[in-house]
Parts: sequence; C-alpha cells; structure tokens
Amino acid sequence: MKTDFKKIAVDGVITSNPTLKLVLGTCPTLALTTLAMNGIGMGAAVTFVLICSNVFISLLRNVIPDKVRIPAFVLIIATFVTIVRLVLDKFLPSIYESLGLYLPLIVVNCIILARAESFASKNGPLASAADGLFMGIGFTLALTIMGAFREILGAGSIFGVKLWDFKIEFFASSAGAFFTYALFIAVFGFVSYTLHTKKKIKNYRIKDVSPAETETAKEV
Amino acid sequence: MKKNILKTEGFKCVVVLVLITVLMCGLLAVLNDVLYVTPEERLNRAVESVYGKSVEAEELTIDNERAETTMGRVEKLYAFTDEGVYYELMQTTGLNGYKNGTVTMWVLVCFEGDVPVAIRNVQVDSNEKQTLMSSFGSDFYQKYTSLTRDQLENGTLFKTGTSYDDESIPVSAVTQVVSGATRSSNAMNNAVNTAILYYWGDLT
Repeated sequence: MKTDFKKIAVDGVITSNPTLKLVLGTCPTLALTTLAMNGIGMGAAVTFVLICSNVFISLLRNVIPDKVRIPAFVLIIATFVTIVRLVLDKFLPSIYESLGLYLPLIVVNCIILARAESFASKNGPLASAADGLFMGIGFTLALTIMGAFREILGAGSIFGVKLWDFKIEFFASSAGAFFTYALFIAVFGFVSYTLHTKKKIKNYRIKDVSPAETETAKEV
Repeated sequence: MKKNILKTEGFKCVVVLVLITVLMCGLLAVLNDVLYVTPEERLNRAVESVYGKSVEAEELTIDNERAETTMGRVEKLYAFTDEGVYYELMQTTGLNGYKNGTVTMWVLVCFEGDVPVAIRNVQVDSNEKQTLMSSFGSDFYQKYTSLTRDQLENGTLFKTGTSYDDESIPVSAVTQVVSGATRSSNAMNNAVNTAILYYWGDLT
C-alpha cells in the first residue's frame, strides 16, 4: 500500500495536532510554556523520542507478541528518553535544567504511547518515522507559539530578548497557563472548523449537478 | 500429551521482552559511557554559572566541626583566585524543606585577604521533594547577596516568614516572603545560613 505522506503531515500538524486537537501531553504543555525556548527544547526532545520509538516499534511490530506489546513499547520509549536526557545533560545543560522533571516524564507522555499503539505497530518504518516527525512538529509548534505568547505577555520578552518593561504576571502563572491553553484550543478549533466548512461548501458548489436532478429538486 | 514449553506463547513473550531489554541496556551502556559528564565538568559548569566565567577551581578540605548544623550541611568546598580576589565556592544542603526535603545550593563567598567579607552570588543546584521552585524570582535570590559585611559579622541569618513586621522574628534575621513556597524557601534559607555559620561562626 502506498504511503500518503501529505496526509501524515497534515494530520500531525493540523488535523490531529496532539496538543490543540487531541489534547495530549497537557502536563508539559501547561508547565513548560512560560518561555518559548522551553517549547522548542521540549518539542525537540519529544520529536526525537517519537521518531526513534516509532521506527523501532515499527521494525519489531511482527516480532512483539500482542500480549506484551505495551511493556515492550514502554521499554523502547524509556530507552530513547534516557538517551535524550544523556545528550541534553552533556551538550545542552541549560535546557536540561530548565526542562527538569518533565524530561523523564516524556516516558509517560500519551502522545508517544498513542502513536506507537495506533500507528507504528500497524505501519512500516518509513511511514512511522514520518508520523513521528510530523506529530513532533505539531507538538513543537503548539508549545513554542504558546510559550512565545506567554513570554511576551508574562515577561515582556521573546526567546529571552527583552522587548519592553510592560508585563502581565498572570500569564506567567499556572492560572495563566490554563487560560492560554483554553484560548489556543478555542482559536485553533474555530479556525479549523471554519476552514473545514468553507472547504465543504466549495466542494459542494463545484459538484456537477445534472439538469434532471435540478428539475426533481424544484418539484420537491 | 505433554506441551512443549518452548513453543508456548508465554515463552515467546518472555524471550522477546528479555531480548528487547538486553538490546536497550547495551545501547544505554555504550551511550552512558560516551556521554558521561565528569565531576570536573560539572564543577566547571557550576563555577561558570555562579561566578559568570570559567576559572580553574581546586577542592578544599571541609572543617567537619563547622560543616554540619541543625540547618544543613556543607557538601563540597572549592577555591579560586581571579583578578587578585580570592573566592570560595561552597555547596551546601539546606534541611527542613517541604515534606522534609532539601535544597542544595552553591554559595560564592569573596574574601579580603584571609577574611570572608561578602556573599557574592547564590544559586540553586538541586532539590529533593520540593515543589513550586519556579515561584522564586530574582528578587528572592538577590536578598542573599544584599547583606553587608557588618550584618554578616553581627549574626544576620535568613528566615522565612509571613510578614516583614512579624515580631517573633529576631532583629538580626532578614525575612524572605514567598507566597505558596514557604517550606521550600525555608530549605533555601537554611542552605545559605549553613554557609554563613561556616564562615562567620555559630550565631544562633
């Protein structure tokens, strides 16, 4: 069966965006989006784990018995999370410290286990890698944009660069995280619904309607 | 008829899980060796982070009699000289935090000759069982470096309180107010107080 990479990409970033559409991985989303840089760091870590675990699980999908698939998936995911921790601690200690507790918690991130279970265990390695990549991009984009929004309003800076002295402390707080998340879900939902509806109307209009069908419709 | 155990599904499950575990452990063992951060590298990072630039520091022997107090303990002590000024960098662990947890901090003390004169900088190294650590802003940490030489020599310690005009707090205490993270700030204060007691004597 031919892999539809375009569909995988659109699904990962927009249609099934893990953060804003599926509402998965909310723990790091709420806790780490105080800064845009945290969003990029966490997003990159999750993307790496997603790609590697998806590929590995996909390669072993015919070997792993169904009854032990979940512990096997968790073993594989935990290994790649540990690798991310080792790499960040060695080369990017500042990001390692800022992500703190949420880095090992990637093991129990619903996005990764969900993709392993629903996609990687049923598809080939290439398609699984693409799924991991685009799901990761969708997650990273959502976290970075939310982080930028909260950083600008809550700290008056962007990526650590000071913009102005004005700041609304509420957006840097936990309550601000929930508010921002709700706001982004609402805006994302509204925009995707509007675009979806417009697309449906457009498809309906360009559909060929035969004169006989039109007459029947008039009589009804 | 006797069932061949080697052909059962249970046996296959165990074999697959064991193989995956062995494979993953091997991968991690190799990477752990390659990506290991040495204690020297960690010390350099701490010095750079607390002092602002990289300098070579040497480890000193801790005076065990003063290293342990009811507030905390001194873990490590390093010394370096830069631009003619002698500094000591102390790693201290403060007790009595949230859920009896601890906070480990780096305290940089500068000297005039042989005499410690000021706390130059303070930074959190790690913590155990603490929550709401993100509640601490730069204002909180700046308080630790705001003490004058006279205040330090006259026995000023840090204390967590609910109000600046709390009468139960000794005159010599600088009160730290942090909403929602009082217990964690208590452990931080104790870590810094341990350093103060180490250099400026037992003032309790």
